[in-house]
Amino acid sequence: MWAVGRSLAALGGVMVLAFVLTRLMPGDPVVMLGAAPGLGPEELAQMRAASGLDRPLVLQFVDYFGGVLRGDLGHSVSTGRPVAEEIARRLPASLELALAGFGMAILVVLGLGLAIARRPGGLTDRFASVVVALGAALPLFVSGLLLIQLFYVQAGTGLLPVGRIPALVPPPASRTGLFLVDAVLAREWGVLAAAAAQLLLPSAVLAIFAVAPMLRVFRAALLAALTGPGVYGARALGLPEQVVLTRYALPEALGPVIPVALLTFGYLLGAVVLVEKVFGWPGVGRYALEALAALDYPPVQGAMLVFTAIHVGLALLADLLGRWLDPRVGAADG
Amino acid sequence: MAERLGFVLIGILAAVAVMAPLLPLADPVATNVRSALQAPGSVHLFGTDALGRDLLARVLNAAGLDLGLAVLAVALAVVPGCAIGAVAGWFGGAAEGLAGWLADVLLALPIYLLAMVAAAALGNSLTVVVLVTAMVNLPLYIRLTRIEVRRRRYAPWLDAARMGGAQDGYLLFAMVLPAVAPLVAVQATTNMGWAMLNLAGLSFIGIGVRPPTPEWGVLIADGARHLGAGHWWLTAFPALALMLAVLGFHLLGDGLAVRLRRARI
Repeated sequence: MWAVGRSLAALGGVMVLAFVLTRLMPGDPVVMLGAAPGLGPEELAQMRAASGLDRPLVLQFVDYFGGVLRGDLGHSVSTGRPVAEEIARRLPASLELALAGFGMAILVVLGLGLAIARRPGGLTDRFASVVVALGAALPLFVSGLLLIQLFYVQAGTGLLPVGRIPALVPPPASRTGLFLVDAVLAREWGVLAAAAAQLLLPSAVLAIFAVAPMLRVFRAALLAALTGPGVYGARALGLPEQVVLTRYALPEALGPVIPVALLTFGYLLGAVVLVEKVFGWPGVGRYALEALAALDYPPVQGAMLVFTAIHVGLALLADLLGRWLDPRVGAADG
Repeated sequence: MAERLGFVLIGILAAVAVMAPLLPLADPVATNVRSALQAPGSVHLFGTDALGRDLLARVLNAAGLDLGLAVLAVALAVVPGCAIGAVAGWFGGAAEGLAGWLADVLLALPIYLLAMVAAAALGNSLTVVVLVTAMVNLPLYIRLTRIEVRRRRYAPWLDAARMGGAQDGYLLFAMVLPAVAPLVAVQATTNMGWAMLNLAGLSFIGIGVRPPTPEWGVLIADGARHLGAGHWWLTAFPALALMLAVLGFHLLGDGLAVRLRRARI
C-alpha cells in the first residue's frame, strides 16, 4: 500500500513540474493556439476567458490535473488532433522496439551468466567483463551507427533500414499494434519476416546497452549464491551440478536482478528516442522530436508524461516484486 | 590494471581538454571547400568534413567542452544532492519524507524527453542541458547521502563526541560528512561517464550544443549524415573519443569502488 502511495505522489510531482514548464513556454498560449492576426486586446481577453487562462493558476492546475487523469493531454498545435490519440497510435512502435531489445538482452544475460557460473574467473567471465565495460561506454546512437555501417554500408546492401516495415510490404492488420504479434495473429509469415528483419538492428542496439547493467548484477548475485548456504546444502546432498545451478543458485540470484531489469527497461523506453532517430523508427520519441522541431509543444509534454507514468509503474512493480521475492527488503527499509 | 587504464584515459582527456587550444592544430571552425570530405591521411590525420574543416582539430577541441559540461552537470548534482540528503538523513521525519519524494519524482523523469520539454519551455541552450542532466542525477546523491548519514547518526563515536559536548553542526560537518565523502566521490566518478553520454546524446538530437561548435555529439550527428556515402571517419573518430572518455570514468569509478570496499573491511 505504502509503495503505491509513493508512486502516486511521484506522479503528482511530475505533473506539477510539467505544468510549471508549460507555463514557462514562450508565447501567449492564446496567440499560439491560432488566434487570427489583427485581433484587438478585447478579443484576446475573451479568448483567454473562454479557455480559462484568466483564472488563478491553482484552479488552472486543478483543471490540467483533471484533464490528464481523464487521458486528455491537450491538442497538437500543428495538426489540431488530440495528443493522447497521436501518442497511443505510436506507442506500440516504441514498445515493440524496447520489448524486443529487452528480450534479447535478457537472453544474453541469462546465457552469459550461467556460463560464468560454471567457471567463475574463466575465459567467459573475462570476456563478459569486457562486454560490460564496453557496453556501458558505448552510446546508443554510436552502436546504432556502427551496426548500420557494418551491415549495410560495408556489406553493400545499399538501402538503409528505415521504419518498421519495408515500403512495399503492407503492414499487418492492426490488433495489438505490435507488428510481430499482429503478423502472427494474421498468419502472414512473409510480413512477419520483413518486420522482424527491420526490428533486428534497432533492437540489437538497445540490447547491447541493456546487457551491461543487468549482467553486472546477475553475475555478482550468482557468484554470491554459489558460495552461499543454499548451494552448500544442495551440494552436500550430492545433487548433480546442473540441478544445483538451475534449481538452487538461479532462483536465488534472480531476486536482485528483477528490480534492476525493470529499471533498465524503463531507461530503455526513455532512450528509445535516440534509436528512433537513428533508424527512422516511427515511435513516440521521433514524434516528439518532430513536434519539437515544429515548435508544437503539447506532444512533447504528453510524451514525457506518458513515458514517466510507464516508468513509475515499472518502478512500483520492481519494488513490489523485490519485496515479494525477498521479504528482508521491506523489513530492513523500515 | 583496469583502474590504471582508466586513470591514463582520464589523464589524457584532461590534458587534451586543457592543451587543445595551445596545440599547433588547424582552426576547428575554418572551412575550406577545396579540401572537403578527405579521408584520413598525412595532411589531415582524421580527415576533413563536408566543409573542409580538419576533424582532428575539431575532435580535440571538443574535449574541453564535453568534459567541462559534464563536470558542471555532476557538480550541480553533487552539491545540492548531498545537502538535501544530509539534512534528510540527519533530521529524519518530514525532511526525510520530502527528500524521498523529490528523489522519486526526479528518478521517474526520462532524460531525453525532459530535456526536450525544458528546451521548449526555457529555450534551447547549454544551461538547459546542464541543468537537466544535473536534475536526473540528483536523486543518486540524495539517496546515497541520506542512507549513509542515517547509518552514522547514532554511531558510538558520535555518542562519545556528544558526551564531550559537541553540537549537531560539528557532528554533521566534521564527523559524519567526511566519512561519507569518499562514497560520494566514487559515485561521482562513475556518474561523470553517464553525464558525458547523456550530454552527447542530447546534442546528437539537437538539444544543447549546436553546430558549428565542435562537440562530440554534434560531430557524430554530422557524421551520421555522411555514413551512407562511405565517409566513415566523420563518425568514427568523435565516437571513439567519446567512448574512451566514458570508459575511462567507468574503469576509474569501478577501481575506486573496489579500493574503498577493501579499505572498509
